[in-house]
Amino acid sequence: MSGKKIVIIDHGVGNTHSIANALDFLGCDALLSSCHADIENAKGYILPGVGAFKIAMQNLQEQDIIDILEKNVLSRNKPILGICLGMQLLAKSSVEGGLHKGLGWIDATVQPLQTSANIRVPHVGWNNIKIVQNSKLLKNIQTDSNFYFDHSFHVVCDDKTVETSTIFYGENITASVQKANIFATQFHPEKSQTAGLKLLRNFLDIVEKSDA
Amino acid sequence: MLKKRLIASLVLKDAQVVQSIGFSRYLPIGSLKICVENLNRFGIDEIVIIDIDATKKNQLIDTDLVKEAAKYSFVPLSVGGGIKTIKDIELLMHSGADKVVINQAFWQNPQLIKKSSDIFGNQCIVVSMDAYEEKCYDYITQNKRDKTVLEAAQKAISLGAGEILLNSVQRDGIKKGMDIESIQYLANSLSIPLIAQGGVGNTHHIKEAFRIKNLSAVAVGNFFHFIEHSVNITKGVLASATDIPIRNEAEANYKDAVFDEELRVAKKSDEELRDMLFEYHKAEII
Repeated sequence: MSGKKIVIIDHGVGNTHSIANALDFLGCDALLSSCHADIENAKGYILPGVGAFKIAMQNLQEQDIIDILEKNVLSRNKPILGICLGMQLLAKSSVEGGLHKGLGWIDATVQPLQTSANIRVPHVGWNNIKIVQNSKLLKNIQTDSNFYFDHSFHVVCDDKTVETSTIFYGENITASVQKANIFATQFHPEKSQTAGLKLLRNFLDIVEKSDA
Repeated sequence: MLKKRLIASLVLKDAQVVQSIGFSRYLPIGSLKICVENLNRFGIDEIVIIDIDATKKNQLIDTDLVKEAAKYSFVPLSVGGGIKTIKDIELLMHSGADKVVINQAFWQNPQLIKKSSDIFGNQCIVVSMDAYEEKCYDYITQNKRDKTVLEAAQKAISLGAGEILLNSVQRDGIKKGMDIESIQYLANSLSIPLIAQGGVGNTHHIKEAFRIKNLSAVAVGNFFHFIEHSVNITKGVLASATDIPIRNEAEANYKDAVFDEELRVAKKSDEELRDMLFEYHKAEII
């Protein structure tokens, strides 16, 4: 069988090594790539992100991979998992470093987290999620499981039906979303030990069972 | 709610993990990847890896060493040692670092903080500050600097730092407790998360620090190296203090343990031990 099942999108601002390590631990041989042929042949994608929104979007545009990703994800319904900045990129826009357009695949915008007397920004560390909607991505994960967060901006959903879990940090913050075959987490499953590995396993199962 | 973080601090010298005492004496501990693997197994929240010779040797921390160790870590790795340029940071981020720790470069080239924060996002830029009393300390010249820790931290924040790692030079390796007053003062004054390090000798010291409301994390170096299961036991003790939000999710979790005043685990009763002989625990395969 030619081509790798899972492609980790290499847009230059991801902690791709960490994700590749985690998938490798789970026995999945993923490919780090931004090449059209690899994207076309893959069964599922991971959109990582540790970096600035503007630079990530610029890189995606320069690499000319947005159209082919949209074709495979939005038309052919192949599963995709966005992580941290990767989740934010799915939104319509972000105000990080100025107003910038996102992919617009989910009806949401990216806003800054508010500092206050008790709230330090970035939101860094382990926080427990509250599962608000069933999702195959969260199968076998208990509500109140801790995951690792590290972000200064967050996704505000205009369409709340896509929210699958939230955390509390001064206010309710979206922790994960699902819209059909599009999955995303604000937290880092590749850095959330057992709970995170379980979630990544769930995504691998979703890709495996997908007939896209 | 956000949990207090227990961070393991691994100091590298000549490619080995070492125990650091007063920023001047170093005793060997061993291999980086084994430390990282064990810490993960014992339920650590985060790991900081610093090469303390890198700046003096004018080179970057060995990225191959980091890459190899990163394979064993499913918790974030903050990596530092000799970082001078954006390229250095990019290289580390592609070698398994989730955040970078910058010390000397903050003083030599403060704009690096601004530039790197703009490119990588402030959430992965940790500025590490060595403190001697209320002043910052230069570990290269071994002298106090002009600026106070608060002044330097405020400057780092204005440049775009995401976290401050505060290191107490006087408390380093003495195991007699942390400088609670200074930490509290700084924690209350900053708008970004603060990690405190230096002085932990037992779990009481960690408990005391975690009770500082605005302190985000405690980084521990030497304490974790010499006691087996020290991370799990520490978390078990902290979890029993109901006012401290802590993550205690490792498989070996001491949740049902009873601790004496010396924080040693009490022996379970003979009946409990007998019943345990026949318990079935299915291995969890992810």
